[in-house]
Amino acid sequence: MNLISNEMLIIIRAVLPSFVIAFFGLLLGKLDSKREINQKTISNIVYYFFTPCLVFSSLHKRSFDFQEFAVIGGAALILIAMMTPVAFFVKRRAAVHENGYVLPIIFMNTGNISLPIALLMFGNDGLAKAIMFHMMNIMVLYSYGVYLVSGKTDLMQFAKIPALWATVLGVTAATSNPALPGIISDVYDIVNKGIDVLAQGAIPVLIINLGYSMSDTKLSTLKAGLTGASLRLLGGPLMAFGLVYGYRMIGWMPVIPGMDPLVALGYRTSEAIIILNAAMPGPIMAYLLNVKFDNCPAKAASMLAVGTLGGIVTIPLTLTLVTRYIL
Amino acid sequence: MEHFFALATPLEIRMMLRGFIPIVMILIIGIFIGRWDNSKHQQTLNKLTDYIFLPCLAFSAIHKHAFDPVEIFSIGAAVLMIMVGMTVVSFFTLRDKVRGCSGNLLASVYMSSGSLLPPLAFVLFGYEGLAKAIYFHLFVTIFYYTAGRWMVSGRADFKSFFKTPLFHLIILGIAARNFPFSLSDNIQELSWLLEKGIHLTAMGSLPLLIISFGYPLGLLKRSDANGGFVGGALRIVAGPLVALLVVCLYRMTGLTSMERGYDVLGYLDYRTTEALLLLGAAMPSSHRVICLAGDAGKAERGTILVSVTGAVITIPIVLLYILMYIFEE
Amino acid sequence: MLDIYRHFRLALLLAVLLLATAPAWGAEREVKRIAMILFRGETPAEKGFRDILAASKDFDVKITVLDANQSKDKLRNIVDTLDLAHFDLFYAFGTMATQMAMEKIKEKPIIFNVVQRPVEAGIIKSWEHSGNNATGASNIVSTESAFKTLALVMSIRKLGFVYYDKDPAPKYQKNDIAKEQKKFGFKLVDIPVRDQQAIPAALIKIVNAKVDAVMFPSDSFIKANADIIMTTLNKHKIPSIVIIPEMVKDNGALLSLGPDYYELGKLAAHNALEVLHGKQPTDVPSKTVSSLRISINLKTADKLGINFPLQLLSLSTIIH
Repeated sequence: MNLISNEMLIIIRAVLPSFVIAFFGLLLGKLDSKREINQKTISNIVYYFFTPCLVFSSLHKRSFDFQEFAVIGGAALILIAMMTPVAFFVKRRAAVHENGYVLPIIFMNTGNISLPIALLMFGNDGLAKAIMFHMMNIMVLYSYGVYLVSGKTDLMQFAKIPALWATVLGVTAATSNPALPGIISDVYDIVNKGIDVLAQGAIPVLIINLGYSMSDTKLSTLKAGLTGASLRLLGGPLMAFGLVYGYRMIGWMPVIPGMDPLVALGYRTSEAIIILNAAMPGPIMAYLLNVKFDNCPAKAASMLAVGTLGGIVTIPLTLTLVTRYIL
Repeated sequence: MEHFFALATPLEIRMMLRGFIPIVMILIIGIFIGRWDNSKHQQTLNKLTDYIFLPCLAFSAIHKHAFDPVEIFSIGAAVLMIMVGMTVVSFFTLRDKVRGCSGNLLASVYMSSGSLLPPLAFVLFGYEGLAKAIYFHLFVTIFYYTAGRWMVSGRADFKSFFKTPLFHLIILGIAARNFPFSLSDNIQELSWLLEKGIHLTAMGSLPLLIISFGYPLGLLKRSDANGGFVGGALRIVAGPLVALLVVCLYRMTGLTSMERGYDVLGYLDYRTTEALLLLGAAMPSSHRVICLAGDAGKAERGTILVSVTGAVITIPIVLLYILMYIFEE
Repeated sequence: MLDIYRHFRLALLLAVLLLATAPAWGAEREVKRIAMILFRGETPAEKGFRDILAASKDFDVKITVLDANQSKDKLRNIVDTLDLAHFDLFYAFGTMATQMAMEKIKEKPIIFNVVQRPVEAGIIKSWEHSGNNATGASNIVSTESAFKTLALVMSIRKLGFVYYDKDPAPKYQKNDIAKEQKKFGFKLVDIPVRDQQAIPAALIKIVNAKVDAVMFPSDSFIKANADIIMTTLNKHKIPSIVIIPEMVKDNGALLSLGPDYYELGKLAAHNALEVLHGKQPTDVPSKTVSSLRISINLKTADKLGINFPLQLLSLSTIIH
């Protein structure tokens, strides 16, 4: 007799490895009572090297489908747009004046938590789709998000996002596929191999960093973030389910009996990735931007902490619903 | 000269360079990050690698590897012979009559077995190479906590070795591999999921280990090389030569059999052990020497700089030798 | 004048020598006719077979190729319409062709090649003595050897095994693999395929099962549909392990583990020569190649992020 049902096993399969890694980070945080570990160094390594390599590595080996990119990227945009007025409404009701309050509600943590789950639950195809969603999320965060907290748009900063250039290069490499002469082809292969090795560092370091951050959380500070985090964790997937069914109705992700099963699998995976990402708590970058522009960082930190802890329950629940109704 | 290179085909050389050059690229990135950061946060990287990434890599490699006490013994004995040989050679070459035992001795004896060797071994020799590299590093670590500490402070610190996460995870890996009881399907699947998390972390350790090695090198200046030519050359030239003597000794005594037999994989396993010993001994100086010896003097910095720069040339030569004379059919 | 005379004597001597040896090369070679019954065209196995026979000093071998072009019905037709009297020996590629040939051909010798499990398939009684009119070469691979090799390249906890349900041969391989589960610590996911229409569903099953790799037996049906299968697996970055080396070169499979087909063809040819010299097929032991040969597609390996260990290069053919 099996103690765990097959359905539960599918969910556990997707989240358990990430929890193991986050636990390592948490353990390290507990052991590092003097806080000697500099998270900024780790974040810089991930931000400037590991993540761009992961993005490039994932995109350039896969044939690029502009329609797929538009649908998934478009979903990220729509979800951000849908959540924005709701977030501002909650901000007004909470009598908060700073715009930084809405950042962890509108935007999602599509890197630390979503990417490993996407990889483990939906394979490399799922990872590639999750990266597309992630790119759109961070592009809007670095443009509109920066505008919200600083009052001005800094396009130069936006243009300096390494992952953005990695996306452009990855898509260019995937679509152009030039016939390179002998030695240049060898050099290209060697550089790609280096990029692949660097890419492997992204996911574990992101999760460990998250776990380390959580080790410092005090329960007394969580109350302030309850409303915003709940909206993010519950409202996000609800909106995403609605969006996915909308996509089906207008034919962007059709459900046609007798369709090629592999094509159908591609559509269903895209839908699952959209809902998974929408179920994510707020991004750590939202907190860092609030700190940078001194725009209610404490409330943002509280929302992130509540959201990440709450995600332990809501993310598996969302995945269960995805398994039952989407896949 | 032509015959020398003809023994390794262009394809083999290409495959070798495809593994080695990306590691050098990542090392340069590590140096760049160190420069940018003024290498202020070495502790961050050390703690990450020592407490999480390297132990996970060790567990991941060991628990998939068939437990063979003879193999562990032969790697351990080889490491001991290499370290003792290097200590003797370095002592007589670098002995400073005024100061007695120079800190430069440490930099010549100790190789970067925990940061550069595992990623190189994995990329070049696969999972088997990685497992052997982990055992190699284990024995170097034992030497580090005993003879190394004694060289610096006059006292060995073997107890600290038993507290290292690396040691515990290797024991755990061996235990997991040889677990005698059958598990139910679901419990087994759960254990494989735990293992998957560790494996993801282990793969993430490869770039991080290289970056953590390159990070402190960002502080070194070209002028530092002046004091370290002899020490650096000893590390990367004498090291593999001593290892070669050990390999020859093993072949003569039959410890690494040359009998091809029906099981060609058994034969290849011995050759991989030999290759790993040569590669391990060819590694440049360990950046941890700077931590062990306190504020590194000019000679130590020079030795590290010269050995790292020189290793960009000597490691491919050692790998070429391995392809031509160790792996050749 | 003296020079011309010397040259003339030399030429005359050469001509006499040539005439003396000429019977050894042409006139005395016995003509033998071999029917080559193939399922999917000629492979390096047939090339190895031909090369050895062409070099024979005793026989002038005339080979007639009868290719079923991957059609079971055509294969049946070829066998049914064989002119047994016209041929001295029959060569059959694969289990299915050999079994069909043995149903019809009882008196004349049959040389089988690339048959994974000749004993289990009822083609021969034992490797030493077939007990019938068949002998040949098998592409059987030691499963333990195969997994030891794989362990150098990748970590497998879940292995998918895809095979053509109507072919009995892969089931023996499946059983062998199942026995290695405990030793190598993996779980086998069984994925039989009934026909071509069932392939997409099988691929979905593979993707959903989150296997670490998929193994394919020496199976002509799989070979015939390899393009769609390998394209999907490579897209989802699922390593594919095959026995047929051409699937690595032609269809982008990651690696093949098996004997060198050319060597197998040569082994089968040596058996054929023994039979042509008068030995009974039952007295000619069936053979297999002693060591594994690996073919790896480097482009697929790069795409999947697989590092190929240098120590395996001596056993391998690298395809770019």
